[in-house]
Amino acid sequence: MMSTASVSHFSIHGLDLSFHSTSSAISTSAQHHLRYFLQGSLPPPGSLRIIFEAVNHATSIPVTISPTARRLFSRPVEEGGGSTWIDWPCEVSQDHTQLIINFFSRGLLLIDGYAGEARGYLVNPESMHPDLYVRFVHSALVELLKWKKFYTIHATALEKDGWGVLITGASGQGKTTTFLSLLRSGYRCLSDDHPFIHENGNAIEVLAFPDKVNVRENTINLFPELKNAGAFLHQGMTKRYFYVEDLYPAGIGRSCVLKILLFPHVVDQSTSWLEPIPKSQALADLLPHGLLVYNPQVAKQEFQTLTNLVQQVDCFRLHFGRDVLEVPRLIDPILEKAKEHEM
Amino acid sequence: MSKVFEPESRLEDWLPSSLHNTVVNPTPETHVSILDDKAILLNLDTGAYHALNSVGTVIWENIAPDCTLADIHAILCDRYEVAEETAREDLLELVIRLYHLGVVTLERRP
Repeated sequence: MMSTASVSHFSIHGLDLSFHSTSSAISTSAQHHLRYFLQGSLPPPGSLRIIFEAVNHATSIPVTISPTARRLFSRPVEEGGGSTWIDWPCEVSQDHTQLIINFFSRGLLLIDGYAGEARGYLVNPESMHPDLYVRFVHSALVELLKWKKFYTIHATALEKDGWGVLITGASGQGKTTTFLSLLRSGYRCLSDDHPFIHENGNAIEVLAFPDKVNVRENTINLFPELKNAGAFLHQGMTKRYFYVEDLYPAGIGRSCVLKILLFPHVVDQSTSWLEPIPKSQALADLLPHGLLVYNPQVAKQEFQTLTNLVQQVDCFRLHFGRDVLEVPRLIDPILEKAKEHEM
Repeated sequence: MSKVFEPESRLEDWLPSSLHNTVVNPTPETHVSILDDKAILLNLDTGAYHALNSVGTVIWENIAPDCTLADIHAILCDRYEVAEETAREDLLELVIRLYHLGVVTLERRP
């Protein structure tokens, strides 16, 4: 652990962020996670601030949670659980302007959206996989950006000629496979896991948050370029992963106007097909992947943005068959039609 | 106006005989989006969201300070080919459910 804080400046779609940490391990991971947004200059005054510190023990975290703090969410300790981030015991509470996410023996996040500042404390980060620091940093970032009306959603997103496709749904239902099928046909990656949604005037834009793409072994086997990726396919904490720019020439986009919202689910059929779904159904299906109500005013605005998003796009259930490489054949004509409609 | 919440009496006991003088009010924490004639309700207090079907959405759209449950019942009977008793049961079932979800309060007027 280092005692001197390093400072990094990121510009995330026009929002300045300064990142401070006394831990070189945390700084390095944050810089890698946010490398597409890294700036060479010092952060300007008024930037959003994220400050992370490494501590030796949870009792060293200099935060006392008031007994009057309102508990919003709690995930208890489970016998035999706790080996991965999503199993960790966690308690989320609100104390005046501060959101507190307590991971007990692992660490704590303190996020003050009003002040534009988040503080994180990680217990012995050198004993954690770097992917876990990234989860902490990303959680802090996401909560801060909500206050600037940049909302994240658990989805994959791609862009072609400035028009976008958002693919969401439960894990294991084909989000990443659909993403890869479109990527290899010339669509550009915006994010494989958590793009940002932002209202720009009357249009809902999807903004890039590129990161490594995690893939399961059965997904790798569906795509020849992944099977033959060799050293471009790395071993992560639980899955293998790659970087889009290493394997796909179209690479990474920046932003687009969203036109298509897809909810894939795998079917035991040879051929995939699209089924239009009502916008009310799309919104109900979208909410579990986007909206977490911590602050009512922020959540109300996010709910309205997601409503506007659904109104702007064509919504489909993608019944995802075994012809995984043929998805562009279904999506291209709809995107073309949407573009013609706009012109 | 008197607020109806009466802990000592069960809603299911008194509401069926009080349609003519009961008004429904959305709670301040409830936010709604209506898309293709269906309402999605977000309860900002609990973080839960609820989808209404088309009949439920008509009921929701007619919730107003000057509209009693009897008025809404009349609107349903006028709009749908449905027996009065069926419309009444559907209305009561939804209102009681919305009340227990915390998205509406009920107000019994003299």
